[in-house]
Amino acid sequence: MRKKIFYYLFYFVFAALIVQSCTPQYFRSNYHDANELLQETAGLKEKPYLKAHLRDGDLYVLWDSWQLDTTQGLLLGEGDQYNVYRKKVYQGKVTIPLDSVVIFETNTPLKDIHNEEVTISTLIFALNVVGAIACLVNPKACFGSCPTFYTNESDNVHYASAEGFSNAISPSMEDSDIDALGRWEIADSIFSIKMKNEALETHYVKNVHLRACPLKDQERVYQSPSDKFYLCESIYLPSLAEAAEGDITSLLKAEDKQERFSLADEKNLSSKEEIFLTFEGVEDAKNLGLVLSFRQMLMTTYFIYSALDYMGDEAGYIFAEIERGSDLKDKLKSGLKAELGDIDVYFWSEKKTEWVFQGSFYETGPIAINQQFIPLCSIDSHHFDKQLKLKLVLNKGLWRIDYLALTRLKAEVIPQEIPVQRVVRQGSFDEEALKRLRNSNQYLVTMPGDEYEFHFALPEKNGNRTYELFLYSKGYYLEWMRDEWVQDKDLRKLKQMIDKPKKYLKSEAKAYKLYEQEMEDVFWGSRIKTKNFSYENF
Amino acid sequence: MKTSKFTALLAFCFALLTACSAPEFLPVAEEIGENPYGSYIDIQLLDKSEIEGELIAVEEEQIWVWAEYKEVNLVKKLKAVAKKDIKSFRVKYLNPQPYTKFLVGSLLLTPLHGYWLIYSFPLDTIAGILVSLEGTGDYMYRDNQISYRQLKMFARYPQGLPPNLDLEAQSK
Repeated sequence: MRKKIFYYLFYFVFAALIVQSCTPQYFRSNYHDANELLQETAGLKEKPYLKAHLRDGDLYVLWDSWQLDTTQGLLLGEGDQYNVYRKKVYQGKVTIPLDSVVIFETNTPLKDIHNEEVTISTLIFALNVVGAIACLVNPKACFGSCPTFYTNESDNVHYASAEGFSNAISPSMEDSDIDALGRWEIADSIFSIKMKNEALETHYVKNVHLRACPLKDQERVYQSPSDKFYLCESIYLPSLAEAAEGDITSLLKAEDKQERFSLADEKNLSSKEEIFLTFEGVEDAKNLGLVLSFRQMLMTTYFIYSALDYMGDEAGYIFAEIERGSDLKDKLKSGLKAELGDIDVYFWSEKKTEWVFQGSFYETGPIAINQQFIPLCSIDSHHFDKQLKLKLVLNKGLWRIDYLALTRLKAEVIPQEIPVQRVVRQGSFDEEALKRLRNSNQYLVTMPGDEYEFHFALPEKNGNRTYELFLYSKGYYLEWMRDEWVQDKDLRKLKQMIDKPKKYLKSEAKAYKLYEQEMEDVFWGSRIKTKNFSYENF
Repeated sequence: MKTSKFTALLAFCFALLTACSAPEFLPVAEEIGENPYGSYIDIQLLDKSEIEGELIAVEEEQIWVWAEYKEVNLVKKLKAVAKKDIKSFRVKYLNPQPYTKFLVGSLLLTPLHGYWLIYSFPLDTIAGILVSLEGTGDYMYRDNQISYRQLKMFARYPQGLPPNLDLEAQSK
């Protein structure tokens, strides 16, 4: 069908080519006689430029102040003189004997001749630029990666609740992922979430289920990077948060998607930065932990697509090597990923007078905001004076941080697993999809544009329907190779990315900065319902 | 769509768009009255060969063209074409660059549209070609729109070929 549409469109263009009749505009006049010229131009308010072609082939181009002196037989004015080979030989005032001129030439001004075409083509170009930038800003909408999950029907990709197994780009890299969905009060015991394939990819979803923890009062349950779950209470917001650009406290105090981020170093993409945090009024040093809401910027997306780009038409071969047990995926983990690093947390020990490492946050993906928790240990209560100092060390231009706070850990808990009860697709129950999700040996395979709604039945405990919910997803996805990737094959660059990530991150900095600046500017411009943000701090 | 097909299609569209473009020496609309060169003529001969280049002069029996031969490098020769051998011609007198650049730029941007390219590419192509066609009449004459007497006015030397002219020696 698409092929037919193409043919119809081109037939239409050819028809237009044939039917189109050009409307000629006659704007040029030649005069062999000075009197004729004088008569034709006498009534004009503004004189046109005049070309005087001489018998020997020379040419005078006179500007709009020329005069004819028929008594003395002279053409007077100011302009340019060209020789027979059209080399400019003189500019200034000229006096030309009329009998040396063979032909006088005038042209009606054509200033507005292309106004319509320029307007339309500028508009077309502007629309294309907007489209291209929108795709760079929101790659999922045009290129995509991994399944996205939405708790709110009307949300777009900027407000995705979770994104599943972002790292799993081949069968052997199949992975599971747990994303925090937050605290929910479930009115009718049914919780539903929609999964979309918004990319040029095939998604193989092995399992999706909820993990739920019932909550009382102000309790929350947070997940650690190692997928342990902690019941917590009390929140201590930072009294001061400082980064290189200055005070960023207000950006980090609320879960409002007003995020703190920095731009990458223009000389080295693995340059690190530090954020210093001060918490005051913390009653007790025991059982504290740090909650962080964060997501990645588009730097990792850039690297994934760059790698596929470098593979070119050998992508299939390289992925087959990975499936056969090549050490490539381990090299990527220990190389590029390690070089970029996690968000490392340090505590300032008054006793040791040094920063003490506490743990690291990490989650791949630039779309959904992740919330994770790290218990703080080794805090010396003898030197504790209701004030706590922490430091985050992170790669520049890699992370967006929305919110952080200290909280008090009550206990480690094990959430209840809630399987999918129903799958709805295009308004009908999809029993086959449900069967596949329940069978650990089968995959629910989705194609671009597919949407599935999963329903979960949550148990009610003593009338309490408040839960902390987490979404578990397991599977992998296959990127569809795009024509433009195949054209830019560069295996040497791929080798550098894998084997010498430090060197690669330096050499690629300039190219990435070009992409980053445009992408980040429009990303913020394109977002709605968020507070304004200024680049002035950077 | 295979890469080669896509590239061929892209090349075809560029060719269509650039068919409406013109050589650099032609003036833009604002400078039409001060350009010292002749217009660009593309002549189809009865023997199906083609001659194109700057229109130098139009004489009683023949047309002089500063012809361009794009074989390996661009070579220019002053060529006399007998009027009786001419099947058709078209004369471009203006360079419409400002908008064709935008149209070509638009096409080059379509790969960045991801899978929306299947819509944006044909739409851009059609819009581009239609806009170019619309503009074509603004800077070109065909042989059915202009007589040889009028054609003279678009030659570098409307008075005829100057004596002792040696363009080839001068251009070396």
